[in-house]
Amino acid sequence: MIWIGAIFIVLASALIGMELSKRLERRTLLLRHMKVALETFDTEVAFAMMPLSEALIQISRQLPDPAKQFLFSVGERIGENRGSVVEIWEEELDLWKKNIDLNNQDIEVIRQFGQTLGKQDLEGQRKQIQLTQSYLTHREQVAVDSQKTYQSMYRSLGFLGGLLLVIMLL
Amino acid sequence: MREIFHILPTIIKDYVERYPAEDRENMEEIRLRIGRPVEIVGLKSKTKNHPPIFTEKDASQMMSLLSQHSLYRLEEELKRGYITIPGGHRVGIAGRVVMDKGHVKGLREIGSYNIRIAKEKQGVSDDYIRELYRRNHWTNTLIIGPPKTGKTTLLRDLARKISLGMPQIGIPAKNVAIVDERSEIAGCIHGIPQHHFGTKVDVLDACPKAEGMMMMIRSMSPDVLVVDEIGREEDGRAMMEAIYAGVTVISTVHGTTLENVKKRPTIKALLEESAFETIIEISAVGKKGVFKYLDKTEPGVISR
Repeated sequence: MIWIGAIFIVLASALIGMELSKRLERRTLLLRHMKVALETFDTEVAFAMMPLSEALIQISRQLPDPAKQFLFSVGERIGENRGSVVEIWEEELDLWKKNIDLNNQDIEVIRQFGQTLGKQDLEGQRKQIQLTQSYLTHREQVAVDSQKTYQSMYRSLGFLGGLLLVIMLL
Repeated sequence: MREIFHILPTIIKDYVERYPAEDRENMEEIRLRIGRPVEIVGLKSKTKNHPPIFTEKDASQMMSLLSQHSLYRLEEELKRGYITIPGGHRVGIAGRVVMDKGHVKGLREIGSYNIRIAKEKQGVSDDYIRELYRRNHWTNTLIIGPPKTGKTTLLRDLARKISLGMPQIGIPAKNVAIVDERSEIAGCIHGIPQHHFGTKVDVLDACPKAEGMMMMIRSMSPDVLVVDEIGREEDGRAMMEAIYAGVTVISTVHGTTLENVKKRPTIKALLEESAFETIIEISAVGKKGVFKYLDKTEPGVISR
C-alpha cells in the first residue's frame, strides 16, 4: 500500500514539473506565432490592402490556437464596427491573457501594437509592424533562454522533489 | 443616405436623423470642422435643430469608420484629398499636408470633412435622348453649364441610358467607356462603380482624360466615350482622335453659353473642326435641378 502511495506522490510531482516546463515551451511557441502573424499582416497591408478586420480573420486562419483565437475575435469585433480598434484590442487582450503563458512584458508588446493599429498611413503602419516584430524577436530570445535554463530543471526538480517527499514520509 | 450614416460619428448621426425625411432628401453637403458646429448645406425647411460641435474624438471616430479602421488603405485618397464611399458619395478632407520632394504626399491631422451627398437622379436625361440619338447613332455632344447645375448628373444618366439601350424606342445598347479623372461620374471604389450603370460600361478611374481616352479606344473599343470637363489642349486633341476613330464623344465643359465657351482655345479649335453635333446649354434657373435646354428646337447647331 505504502509503495502505491509513494508512486502516486512521485508521479504527481513529476507531472507538475513537466507542466511547468511545458509552459516555457508554449510561451516561446506563441511568441513565434505572433511574429508569423505580424509578417503575414505586413503582406496583407502592403500588397493586398485588405481592410483590418478581413486581414486579421485571414491571418487567424493560418495560425494554431491560441494566437488564432485572439486574432479572430478581434477581427470579428472590428468588422461589426462597434467601438474603436484600441478598445477592442485591449478588451480582447485582457480576456486572452488569462489563458496563455505569456508574461506581462510580452503582453505589453502586443498591447502597444494595438494602440496605433489602423490609425497610420501605409508607411507608418509598416514601421509599426517592424518595430513590434523586433520587440517580439527580443522577447522570443528571452523566452528561449529561460526555456534552456529552466526547462530541464523543472522536470528534474519535479521528479526529485517527489522522491524527497516520499523519503521524508517513509 | 444610408451609406452616409455608416460613416458618421454617433452624435452627428443622431443630429442628422432628427431632420424629417424630406429634409434629408434635400441635403447637399454635411460639413464638419473640428471644434465647430456641424453645418448642413441644402436644408430648405424651417426646422432648426441646434447643431452639435464636431469634436476631436468624433473626428477620429469618423476617420476610423471612413477607412474601415484601416488608414493604411487610403494612401491614394489622402493624396487626392477626397474619399469616395459606397453609394458614390464623396468626403472631401483638409488638414496638414505632408510634402515629399516638392509634391503633395498626403494629408495628416485632418481637421475638416465635407461630405458631398451624391444624388443619382435616374431619368434626368430622358428629355435629351431623342435629340442626342439621331440618324441611328449617338451624336458627339458638348454639355455646357456653370458648376453645380447638374452636368455630371446628366452625363452619368446618359451613360446609363446608352449602355442599357432603349429597345422600346429602337435604340440598341452600346458599349460605353467612361474616363473618370475625378472619380465623379462613376464614383469608383477599388475600380467598382458605385453608381448604377447598364451592363456595357467600362470605367477608367482617376485617369488623366487625354491619356485615358486613348487607352480606352485602344483597349476597350467603345461605341461611346464619356468624359467630364474638358479644358486642356491635350484633351481636345485626344477628343479629335476619338472622333476620327469613329467613337462618339459626350463631354461637358464649364461655362454659361456656347458663345462664352468659344473663347477657350481648346473648345474653339474643336468647334472649328466641327467636332460636336449637338450642344446642350444648361443653366440653373431658380431651383436646382431645373434645366433650360436652349438648343432643343434646333438640333445639331453645328452639324457636319
